[in-house]
Amino acid sequence: MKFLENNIEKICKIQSITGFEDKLREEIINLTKNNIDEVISDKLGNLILHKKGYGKDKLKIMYCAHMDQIGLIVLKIEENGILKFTKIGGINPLTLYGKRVKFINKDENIYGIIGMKPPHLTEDESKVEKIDELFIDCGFKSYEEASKKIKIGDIAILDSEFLKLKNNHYSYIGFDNKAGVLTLLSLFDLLKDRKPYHDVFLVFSTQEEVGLRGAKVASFSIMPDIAIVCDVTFGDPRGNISDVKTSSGPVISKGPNYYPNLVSTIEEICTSEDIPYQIEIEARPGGTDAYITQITKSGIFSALISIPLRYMHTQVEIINLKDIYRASKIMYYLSLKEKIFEIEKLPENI
Amino acid sequence: MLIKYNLLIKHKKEDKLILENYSNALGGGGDEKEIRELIYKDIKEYAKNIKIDPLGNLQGVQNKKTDKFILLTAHMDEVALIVEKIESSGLISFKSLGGFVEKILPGTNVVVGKDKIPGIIGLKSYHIMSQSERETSPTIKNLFIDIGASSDKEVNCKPGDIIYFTSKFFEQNDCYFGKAFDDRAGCSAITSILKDNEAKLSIAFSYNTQEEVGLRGGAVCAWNFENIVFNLNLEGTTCSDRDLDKNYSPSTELNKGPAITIMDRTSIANRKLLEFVCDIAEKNSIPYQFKQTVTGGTDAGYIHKTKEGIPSITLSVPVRYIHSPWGIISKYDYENYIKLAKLIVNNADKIKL
Amino acid sequence: MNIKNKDFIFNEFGVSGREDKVKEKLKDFLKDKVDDLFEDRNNSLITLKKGNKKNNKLKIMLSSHYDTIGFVATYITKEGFVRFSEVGYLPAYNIISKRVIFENGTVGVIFADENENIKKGEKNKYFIDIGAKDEEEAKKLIKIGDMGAIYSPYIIQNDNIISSWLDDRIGCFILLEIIENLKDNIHDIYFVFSSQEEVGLRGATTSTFKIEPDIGIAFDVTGTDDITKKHYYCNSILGNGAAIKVMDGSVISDKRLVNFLETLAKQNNIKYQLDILTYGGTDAGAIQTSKSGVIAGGISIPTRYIHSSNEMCSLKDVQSCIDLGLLFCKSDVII
Repeated sequence: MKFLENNIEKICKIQSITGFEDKLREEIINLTKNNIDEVISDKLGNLILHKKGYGKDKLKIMYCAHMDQIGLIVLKIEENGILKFTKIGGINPLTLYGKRVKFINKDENIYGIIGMKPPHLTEDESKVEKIDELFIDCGFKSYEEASKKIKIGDIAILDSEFLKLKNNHYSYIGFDNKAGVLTLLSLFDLLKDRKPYHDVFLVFSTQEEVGLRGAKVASFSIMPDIAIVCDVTFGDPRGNISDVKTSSGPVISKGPNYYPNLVSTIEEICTSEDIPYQIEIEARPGGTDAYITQITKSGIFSALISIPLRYMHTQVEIINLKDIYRASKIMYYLSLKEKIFEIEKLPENI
Repeated sequence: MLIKYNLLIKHKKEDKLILENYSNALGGGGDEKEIRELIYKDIKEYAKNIKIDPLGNLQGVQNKKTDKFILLTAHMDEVALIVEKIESSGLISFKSLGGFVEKILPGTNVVVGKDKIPGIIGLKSYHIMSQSERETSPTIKNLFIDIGASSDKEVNCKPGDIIYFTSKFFEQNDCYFGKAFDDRAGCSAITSILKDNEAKLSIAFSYNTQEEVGLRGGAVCAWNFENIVFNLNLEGTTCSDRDLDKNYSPSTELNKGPAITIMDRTSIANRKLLEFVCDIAEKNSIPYQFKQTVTGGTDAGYIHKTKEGIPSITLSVPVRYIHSPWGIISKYDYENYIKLAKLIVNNADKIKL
Repeated sequence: MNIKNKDFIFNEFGVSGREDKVKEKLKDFLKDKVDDLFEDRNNSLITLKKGNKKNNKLKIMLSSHYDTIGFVATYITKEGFVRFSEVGYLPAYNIISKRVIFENGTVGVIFADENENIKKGEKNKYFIDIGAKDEEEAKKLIKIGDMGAIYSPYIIQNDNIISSWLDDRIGCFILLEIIENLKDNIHDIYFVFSSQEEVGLRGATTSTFKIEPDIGIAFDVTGTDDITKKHYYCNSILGNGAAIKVMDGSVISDKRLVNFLETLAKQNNIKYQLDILTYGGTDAGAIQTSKSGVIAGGISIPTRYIHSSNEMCSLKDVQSCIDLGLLFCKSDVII
C-alpha cells in the first residue's frame, strides 16, 4: 500500500491521452528500470516490461493495462478565434458544459472554456448539446491570433482536482485506466526483490479507448500462454447494472471471453490468501483489451480483473486504493504459483 | 446396385441419428464440453492430430495423398442463457448467450448448470396482469428462472452457470423438430463427411465454439492450418417462408434445398467458389437456393480474412424458428445438404482458385 | 497529370467482392510499369517497385481500395423488378431514381413501391427496374447474386472532377500516377489496390499481412465541411490541398509520420491541410494493427457528396496528393 500511496498522485497527474502516452511511458520506465530485465517500446507505443521467471515449467504471463485515457482534439479554428473540437474515445458531452480545459502538448499553459449561455439567455435549458455544437474559448480574438498558439490536432483535457476521500477512496480524471496502470506498478513493486516463477510481461497498452489497437499488436508480438487484463468496471452506488461496489475488492469476470480453469485458479488464490473479491458475469465478450487477447493468432487463455470505479468517463472518477492493491496481490500470487491451471484435454477412455 | 442402395439407406439412417444426438446434446458459448466429447467419440477413428485449441475448438485432419487441404467448419455452440445472480428469494436472473427475440422465453423449460437442475422461466398469471402489462413484450431484465427454491440458500447453482433449453428431437411429416439445428446440422454434416467420403484433397476440420457470442472460435480456427485451398463453412440459417409476403425477398424456404450464402454482414462469397458449388449441385441434380437476405454473420467472416486470406463459402440448411427452443428443418433439405457438402468435398481438387 | 490514358479507373466496374473487371484492366495497364505484380487470397492486387538501397531497406506500402459501394440482387418479383441489398453504406435518400449498371452491362433505375417508402427510407421496399415485362424476362438478364452500382461517366469542369466512383478510384488514380512517374526510389514501395474496403477493410487486412510493411499510407477520400452549413464532423475544404490524415474513425495516424509528411509538404511548397474525420474508416486502420504493428497514416483527397451518385473533388488537390506521394516515395524515410 505504501508504494501506491506514494506514487498515486504523480502517476495520475501525468496526462496520457490516446496517441499521446509518451510522458507516462517515460515515467513508468523511470520507476521500474532498475528491477526489470527487458524494456520494449513497439510501433504503436506500447510499453512492455519483461521480468524473467526461474521456474522449470514456467509460462509466459502477460498482464495488460491500457495506459491511454479519453480527451478532446481540435478539429478547426474559426474566423473569430474559437476552437471547434471532437472527442478521442467515449467522451460524454454532459461532462463538458461550462468546464475549463487545458491543452497538454504545449510548452506553456494554455486554458480554454467550453462556453455555455447563462440562464437569462437560454430558451430551453433541458436541451442536450452534442459535441459538434460546442466550442472551446481561449480568449483569442481572431483566426490569426489563435493559429499562432493552437493547431488542428492539438489535444486538451478537462480540469480535475486530485482528492483523497474517506476510506482509501480517491477522485481524479482518468482512473480509467490509471487504476490498471497502478495495479501493474504495484505488482512490479511486490516482485521487485524476487524472481517470479513464471515469465512476467507487464504491458502498458495504447489506444484502447479507440478500439483496443495497442493490445492487438502487443499480444501478437509476445504471444503469451496466459493474458490477464486489468481495467475498470462499473462500481456506481446508484443505478448500477450489477451489485459491484468500490472497496469490496477487485472484480473477477466470468463468461465466454474468460477461460474457466484460469478464472477458478484466480478465485482459489483469493480464497486461500483472504483477498475479498466480487464476481461479474459477461454474456458477450466485452469492451476491454481481453476481447482482443483471446482471439490473437490461435487464441490466448484470458482473464479479466477489474477495479470498481464510480462515474466512469467523467472528470470526477472515484476508485478505492485498497481494491487496486488487492488486485496486484492476486497477480503477485499468480506469478509465483507453480501449477496455474489444467488445460482441457480430450478424454482418453471414450 | 442393391448394395449401393442399401448402403445409401444405412447412411441416411446414420446421418439422422447423428443429427438427433447432436441436437439433444448441450453446449453453449464457452461451455461446449458435452457436445465436443460426443463429436470426438464419433470421429476419433476417422481422423488424426485431433486436439482442442485455446478457444475450445475441436480440430484435426484426415490425410489423403496430397498436403493440400479443404477446411470444413461448423460451430458447436447453441444459443443459451447464463446465470447472472441468485436472488434472495431463490429466483435466478440471467443473461443471453446469443441473439434471442426475448418474448419466446416465458413458459419454457430449462436445465441449469453441470448438474442439469430442472427449472422453468415463469410469467405472471394473466389474471393479475394490468392492461399495460398484457400489452408489453417481456424482456430478459424482468424474467426469472424458478427451480422451486424458497430462498437463495436452497439454490445449488451459481453465477456463470449455463442454462439450456430441453427440447428433444423428433420426426413428423418429413420434418425434423428440435433445438440447436443451428449449428448441430453443420456439425453432423462434418461428422458424416469424415466417416464416408471420396475426397482427393486432404481434409482439415474445426468444430468451433462461441460463434453465437461473436464468432470467437471462428476468429482463431484457421490459424493453425497451412495449405488450405478453400473453406466450406456448414451452417443453419434463417428461414422465413411462413410469413412470406410474395413480393419481398424471403431469406430461405423449406424444401427448396440447401442454401448457399452469397453475402452476409461478415463476408462476401468468393465468386469462383460460388460458381463451383452451383455447378456441382446442378450436375448432380441437387436442388439448392440462395440465402436472399444479407443479415447475420458466420465464422466465414473471420476465416476468409485470416492471414493472407482463405476463399470461403457458407452452405446452410434452412431452419424455421431459428434461435428458439423449437426449430424445424426439412428431412429432404437435410439429406440434400449432406449430399451436396460431400460432393463439394469429393470434387474439391478440381477447383482452380 | 494524364487522365485520358487511364480513365478506365473511373469507368470500369468493381463492387466489393466483385472487383475482377477493374482488376484485369489494372493488371494490363501496370504489367510493364512495375517490378512485380501478384495478389493476396482475397482479391487484392499488389504491385512492387523495388528500391535501390543496399542495407536496411524498408518496405513501404501505399494503399487505395478499388472496390466501390453497390448493390446485390436478392430477389426477382413477379413483375420483373429486382429487389436488392446494399454492399457498403448508401444513404436511402441518395439512391431513388438513380441509374444502376450491373456487372454484365444491364442498366436499371432505382425506385420504390410507394412514396411513403421513400419518405421513410424503407430500402427493403425499393427495387431496380431493368425494363423487363415480367419475372421470366427479368431472369434472363439478372440472377440472384448479381452485383450492380450507381454509375455516371466522369466529367471534368473548372478544375474539378465529378464521378460516381471517386471513393476510392481517385485514390487508385493517384497511385497510378505515382507509379508512372516514380524512378530511383530508395526503399521498396508496394502499391496495393485493396479489395472489399467498403464492407470492412478486408482486403487491406489480408494484403498487409502478406506484405509485412514497415510503413503504410492509405490514399482515400475524406469528407469536406465547406457547403452552406457547417456540421463539424470533419474539417477539410475543397481546394485547400492534400489532406494529411491526423485521425479518422479507424486510425490515429502515427505522429512521426504526420510530421514527416507536413515537413515534406512545407519544404516543397505543396498545398496541404490537416484532416480529421470523426467517423468512417480507411485502409490505414487495418494496416496499423497488422501483426506486430505498422507505422500508419493517410493522404486524403477532400471530396464532397461521398457515397452519392455524384462525388466531387478538386484536381488541384489531386495533384497535391500526387506530388506529396511522389516526394514521400523518393525520400529516405527516417521515422
